[in-house]
Formats: sequence, C-alpha cells, structure tokens
Amino acid sequence: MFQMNRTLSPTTVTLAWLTTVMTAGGTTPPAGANRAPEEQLAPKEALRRNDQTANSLAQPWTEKVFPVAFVEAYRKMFSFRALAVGWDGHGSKAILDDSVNAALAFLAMLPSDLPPPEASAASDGTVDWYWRNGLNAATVTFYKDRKAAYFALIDNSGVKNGFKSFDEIPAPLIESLRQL
Amino acid sequence: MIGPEEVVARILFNPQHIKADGTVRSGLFSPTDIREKGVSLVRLEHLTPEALMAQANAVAAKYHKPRTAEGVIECEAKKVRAIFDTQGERLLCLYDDPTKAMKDLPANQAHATAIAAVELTDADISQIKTLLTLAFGPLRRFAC
Repeated sequence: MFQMNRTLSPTTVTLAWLTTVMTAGGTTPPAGANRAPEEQLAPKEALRRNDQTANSLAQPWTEKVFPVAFVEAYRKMFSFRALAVGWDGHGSKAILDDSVNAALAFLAMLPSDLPPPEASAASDGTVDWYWRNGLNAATVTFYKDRKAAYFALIDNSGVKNGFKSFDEIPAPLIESLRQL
Repeated sequence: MIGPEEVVARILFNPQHIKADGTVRSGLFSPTDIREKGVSLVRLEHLTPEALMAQANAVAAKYHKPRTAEGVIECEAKKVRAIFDTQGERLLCLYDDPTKAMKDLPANQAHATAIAAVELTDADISQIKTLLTLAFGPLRRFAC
C-alpha cells in the first residue's frame, strides 16, 4: 500500500489534491481555468500549475491510503489536465477539470482488490476509466457537473447505468469489475 | 450501401489514443462524436492505399500542430451495427457518407459515418465506447 505524506513529491501533490477534492466534495482546482489554445502545455508550465494546485490546497488535508497499483492510473489521469484546446485536432476541447476531479475521486473509492483501470481522454473534454480482460471490458465515463456513467461487459452480458460521481460507486459495477 | 462484411477503418492521428500493444483507448470515441457529429470512418475497399494516405495526410495537416497520421484501425461493419440497448433497439447506424472537397481536404468518396440511431443516455454512450474499443482491431501503421 502507498501512504501519502506531506512531502510535496509529484505523487503526493497529486494525491493531496485528490484528497482535498474528496473532502470538499468537488472543488475545482484553479489550474485549468484559462488554458491557452495550444496543444499541450510545456512540461515546465504543467509543473508550475501543479505547484499552484499544491499551494492552493485548503490544508490540512486528510491522509489517504490506496494501492500502489493505482498510482500510475492517478498520474495518467492527472496529466490530462494539461491537454488544452486543439490537443486532439481541429475542434477538440480542453479536458474538463470537473471530469478529471470526478475520475480521481472515483479511483480513490475503488476497492483495492480490483484491477487498476487505464485512463483515457476524449476530444470533447470527457475522460474514462477503462478495463479489459480478453472479451470482458468496462468503461466509466466522466462528464462535467459530476455526471458519470458506466457499462461493463462480462461473459457477453452487459450492465450499465448513470450515476453521480463523488457518491458511492454503484454496486453492480463493482461486482462486474470483480469478474473481469 | 455498406455491407455487413465490409471493413470500415478509422484513421488515427494522435498517439495519445494508442497503447503500447497497438490497441486503442476508449477515449478515441468521444460522446459528442457518437451523439452529434458522428464517428468518422473510411471504407477501405473504396480507396487505394495512396488515396487513403493522401486523405490521412491532409487531415493530419489540419491539426493545431501538424501531425503525421499513425495508421488505421479496422472493424467489420456488422460489429458497429450490432450494438443494441436492452430493448433490442440498435444504438448506432453506419452509412455511406462521401464528402466533397473542402478548403484543405480532398474529396473522400469512401467516407462513412457511424452515429447515434436513437437518443442515447450516458450509459448507452459508455456501452458504445466499450464495444467499439473491443470491436476495432489493433493499429495498422502506415508504411513510411
């Protein structure tokens, strides 16, 4: 298991921010509000924004323990915040901070015995968690305004529904993910 | 008309959507495209490799930062059409949709579109994303 501490390593910054989001019930980090119409932020700029996010946290934050296996998923999802207008071709939108916040909060609620999901971003600003094992697969899509929806296909049988993120993860989804 | 056995392909431009094993991420299929704009595809049987490459290069050049087209992923038409809701209603339609030449793009007689056939819930969208991601094969890269 991975334990957060108050040293501001990049991982800790990410996790501390996430925990703050969860505690506050969905605060929007300030970093993504004014993205320039460029494809992707330079690494230095992305780092600066991360620092801003860390400094703007309403401390003290609560400590959160979660599986090491989920750290890479956290990092990938968090990195999508740097994808600005045009990142996926003409007409593509910046990734919504709301969507990323919701996806990270969802991951923090995911039981540790489940396989880690892969992070994915879409050209309309939404993000997904996706799992696949052979012909079994599941997708959870996060929209703005805390809206989310899932579909899981297990042994040719599907379950799906919409839900509000930051609430509990729907039980049928967890059950399906355990069968992946 | 696109027959059930016909292969349709999606041209990929952004490495962000491609995993190390060549399969694609679910984010390739955006909810807005599925609902409103349509998922842009090509009918491979109706394009020479050279015409496909020309089309791909023209679209790649329109990126904010011009890119190189990475390749295509392919799927049989019947798999796109085999996505149904719990009432047995088809969620996606796939149709022949040739495009005229535009400012920076050549005409594409082989263009096809997959788009919502009915009003979709967010959960329907997750279903479509999951099943399209499963249905399309791994990336076939363009020859350099």
